[in-house]
Amino acid sequence: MPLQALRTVAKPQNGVGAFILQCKRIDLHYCDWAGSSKGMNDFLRTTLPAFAKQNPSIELSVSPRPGRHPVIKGLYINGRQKAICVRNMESGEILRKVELLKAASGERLRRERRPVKSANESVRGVWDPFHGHKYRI
Amino acid sequence: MRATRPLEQALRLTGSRPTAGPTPTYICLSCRARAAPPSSHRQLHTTVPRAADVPLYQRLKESLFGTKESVAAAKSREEKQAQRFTDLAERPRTSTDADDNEVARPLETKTDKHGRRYEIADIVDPAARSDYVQATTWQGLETVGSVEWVKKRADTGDVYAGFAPPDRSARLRGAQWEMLLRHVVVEAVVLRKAGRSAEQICWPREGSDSWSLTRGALLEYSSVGGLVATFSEAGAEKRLRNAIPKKLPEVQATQTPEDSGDQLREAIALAPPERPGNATPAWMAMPLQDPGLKLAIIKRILQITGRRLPDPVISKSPTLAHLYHALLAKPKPKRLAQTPQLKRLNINIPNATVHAGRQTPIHKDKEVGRWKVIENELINRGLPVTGSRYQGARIGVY
Repeated sequence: MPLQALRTVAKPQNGVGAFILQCKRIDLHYCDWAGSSKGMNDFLRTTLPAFAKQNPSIELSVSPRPGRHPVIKGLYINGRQKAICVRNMESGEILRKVELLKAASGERLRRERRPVKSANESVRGVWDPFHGHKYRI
Repeated sequence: MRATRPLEQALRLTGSRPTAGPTPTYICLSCRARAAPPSSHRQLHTTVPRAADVPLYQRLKESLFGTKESVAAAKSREEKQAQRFTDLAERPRTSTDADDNEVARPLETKTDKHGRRYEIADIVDPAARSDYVQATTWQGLETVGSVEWVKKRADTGDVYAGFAPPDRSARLRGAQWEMLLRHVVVEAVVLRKAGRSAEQICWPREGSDSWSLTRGALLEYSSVGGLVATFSEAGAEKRLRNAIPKKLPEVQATQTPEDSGDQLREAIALAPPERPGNATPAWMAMPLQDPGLKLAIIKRILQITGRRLPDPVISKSPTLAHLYHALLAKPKPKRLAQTPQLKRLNINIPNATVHAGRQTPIHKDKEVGRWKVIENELINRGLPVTGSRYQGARIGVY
């Protein structure tokens, strides 16, 4: 009988049984008049319907912001939000930014110094002087 | 430390030079240049030397005392001025009428280059005239610069009378647009036949039955004869011609919405049923090469319906049919939220919402039902509900 490794029973997952998208809502603001919203207006007319259909779990809110540059804001289930100014961007560029907001976790961007990060606490525990080997003089 | 440095430097400079010590062998270029006699200094000029037309002394003299010509001109001017003053002073101020009574002579009037007439004021020399009395108050004297003076002189200019209805443009069906266009074109053709300007169809008219007359006309277009209007009723053409005024009234009243509404109702009454497809009647093939005719038709339609056509559309419409299709076309939505794409997005896709106006934090509170609580608490505390610009903001706030 060949040697078999132990099978992992539980895998670390986003939700317990399913993946939960961290981005819950995206606000899209545009201006009817300003030239910097040209690409945004084009995106809203042409690309947004397909994106909305593909991502039914994300609430999309489109509203004008007169006299301002176009902005997309992502709201996350951790309560944080991320905003990206998309002035003078074309429709394709804006779609990439929207995908970026969708894929983001909502956490602040941090530099990871260690290659492995675990949410579990250490199996070794915190050192305590009253436990373990006792030295006797 | 920094403040003491200049002082130290100054004391060092005033002090006697050390006699002892080695003599410096190297002297910098700047010091060498200063030490050299002035005759050996190199002159550096960036401008090319050029012989002056007039010597400097001459130029200075002319700038201070003037040239011969300018002196002579000034002298002549002064003499002429003095002569003019003398003439004006010697002019008799009164004349005698038929009954030998002395009557004040009117002031001399002149006309300037723009055709405006002006009076030349009398010059009175108090020393020469014994009847001159100096004014002690300014009552009755001409004042310059007061508010009344400015108002009196203010040019009100031409009073503009608008010809387009102030309300929004009417939305008509294809057959109604065709009917309206037909009315306007029949009038324009009749006027052109009579040798009158097509613009006269836009002039204000009162109480005419021109709509019933134009409705009965038959329009026929041929490339040789152009557009011809034939009236079934005898004398209808003449009545229509007479109904259109020949003279533009001096004072024009601005058109009211009621006037244009009544005109439109009469014009599109008894409109025929819709034509299938995009077919247009034959008379619409009439070319609009004459810009006067084209603008008259567009202006008349604007007067009746309030529908404006963009300039590029007007200039790119070679025939009446093009104009008809432009009128028939739905106007482009001014706001993105009103475009069909976003309207479809709002209706068809459940996770997308399109708002027509700006969304404020109050809207977000309202979405979750929090706003009524906030509003009640603000009112209970006597605080402004929606900022300091809110109308009732200052009521009850001390």
